[in-house]
Amino acid sequence: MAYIELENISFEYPNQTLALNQINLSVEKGQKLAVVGENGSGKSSLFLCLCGIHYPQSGRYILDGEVQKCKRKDRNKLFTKVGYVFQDPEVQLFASTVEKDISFGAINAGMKGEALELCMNEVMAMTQTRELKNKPPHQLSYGQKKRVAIAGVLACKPEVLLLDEPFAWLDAQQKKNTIQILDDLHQQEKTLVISTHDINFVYEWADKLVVMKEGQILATGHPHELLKDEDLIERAGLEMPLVLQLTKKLSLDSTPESMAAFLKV
Amino acid sequence: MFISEKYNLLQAKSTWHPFEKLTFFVAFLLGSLLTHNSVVPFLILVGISVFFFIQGLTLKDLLQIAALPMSFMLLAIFSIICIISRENFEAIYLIKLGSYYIGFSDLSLDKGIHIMGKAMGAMFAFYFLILTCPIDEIEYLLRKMKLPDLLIELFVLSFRFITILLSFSRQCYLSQKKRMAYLSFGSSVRALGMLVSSVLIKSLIHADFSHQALLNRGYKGEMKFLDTHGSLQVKRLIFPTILMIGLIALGQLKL
Ligand SMILES: Nc1ncnc2c1ncn2[C@@H]1O[C@H](COP(=O)(O)OP(=O)(O)OP(=O)(O)O)[C@@H](O)[C@H]1O
Ligand SMILES: [Mg+2]
Repeated sequence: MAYIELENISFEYPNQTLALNQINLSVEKGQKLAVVGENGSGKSSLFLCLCGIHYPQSGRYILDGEVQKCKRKDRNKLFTKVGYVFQDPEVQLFASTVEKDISFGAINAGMKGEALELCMNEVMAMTQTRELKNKPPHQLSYGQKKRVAIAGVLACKPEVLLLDEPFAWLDAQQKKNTIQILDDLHQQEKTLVISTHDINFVYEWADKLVVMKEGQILATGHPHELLKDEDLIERAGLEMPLVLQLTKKLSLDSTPESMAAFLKV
Repeated sequence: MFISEKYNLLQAKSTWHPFEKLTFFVAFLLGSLLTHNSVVPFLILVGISVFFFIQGLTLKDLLQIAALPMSFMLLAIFSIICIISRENFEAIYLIKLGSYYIGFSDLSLDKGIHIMGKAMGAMFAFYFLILTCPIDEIEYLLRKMKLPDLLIELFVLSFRFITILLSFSRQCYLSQKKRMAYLSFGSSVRALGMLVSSVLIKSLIHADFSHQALLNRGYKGEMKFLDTHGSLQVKRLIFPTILMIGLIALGQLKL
């Protein structure tokens, strides 16, 4: 059985917007899943259900073989397993310094003394936040806030990490750093789920792609397969990755897996 | 944004323990409040100012910081010094307006200067604390003084929210201004109303999301952070304590 299983999940906001409509999805441990879809297609809502902040009104959510019931105790356990990095880092940072903010989750996860120090060092090295550690959050730039927000969630040592648009508003260098963090996490066999509008990145990075529209899943599969399908791209309001556009234009026989590979051909 | 950030007194900030700064603050505060003469407040004012200058504050900065409270204070002191009376009295300076005498006497002048000195000393003591302690050290001090956790968490969160709301309202105001919302009186009132309501809604939504984010990181109704301040060396408290005793003792002399 897959690590995460969603069976017929539906979720409606109190104002009767049906944000998720009969979602079926399975994610393996250590997988790199990307969720794409136009604005308002329900990506963030899906994440909020996955990490237990919102309760789906119907359907079954199975994580690591356990059915998640919507009880308070279950939810606390879910929080330690699934970490969610919000799209807007502003809502996440609240302590008076960066270091305190990062330590918050680790202490809640029960770490103390040496283990806590080790964890803090590891997380701060990974996200390059050490030189920021004594600054108050409101003095940081957007990219720095984003890094601290990721660090704060990583400090809880979640098995599954959900990142909502991790690259929005980042410059090229920051984006590279964030991708580096994702790769490091993949090395540690964490399950990564990201939502993004960057289709070129998805094509190169993800090993499973979920295409959403109006609260429903249009297709799931490997990005190399799905993104060749012009009809699907049209329906989902996406764009074809640059590499595929170029190979098509040049009528190449092989389809390269990344821009780097394309440039070599 | 906040005066403590505009004037970064980095040196003292990083190397002193918060309790050391607090002891200095208490020394200055008690020194100014318990004094019976004007020499002690004067010493405190000069001392703190010299400290600020050494730390890199310019005279202009200092005047800028002190200007607003000082102007209120001068107004209040003036009302103490001034004597208005129907009868003539022994005064240093006196004018007659109609049937009233307005002026100030030896005694009222003395009293005014005395109160002014006390107030200025206390004010500078507060500036000393605010300018040397960043917000997380103040939080640390509150925590160590065993204030209820609820109050401290409220303090931390509201500080954070205030910074966010301030920057949001500033952006909102600028974008309104760029769209010419503040040209006439009527449109200004309307624009201001819209600004206030959007800030309110934003703060509600923000609070909701923040709560979710806290839950996601394992918040169970209690905020615990890493304690980043090393242990206090007691010998570093000796000097400020002696200073405190000295200032109070000096204040008891009638000079
Ligand atoms: N708090 C809320 N209350 C009511 N409806 C909401 C709320 N949040 C989102 N919705 C609605 O739910 C639907 C899905 O929104 P969601 O935020 O999940 O989209 P998204 O795919 O993350 O979009 P984006 O790419 O813009 O982030 C939208 O129609 C939206 O209007
Ligand atoms: Mg979203």
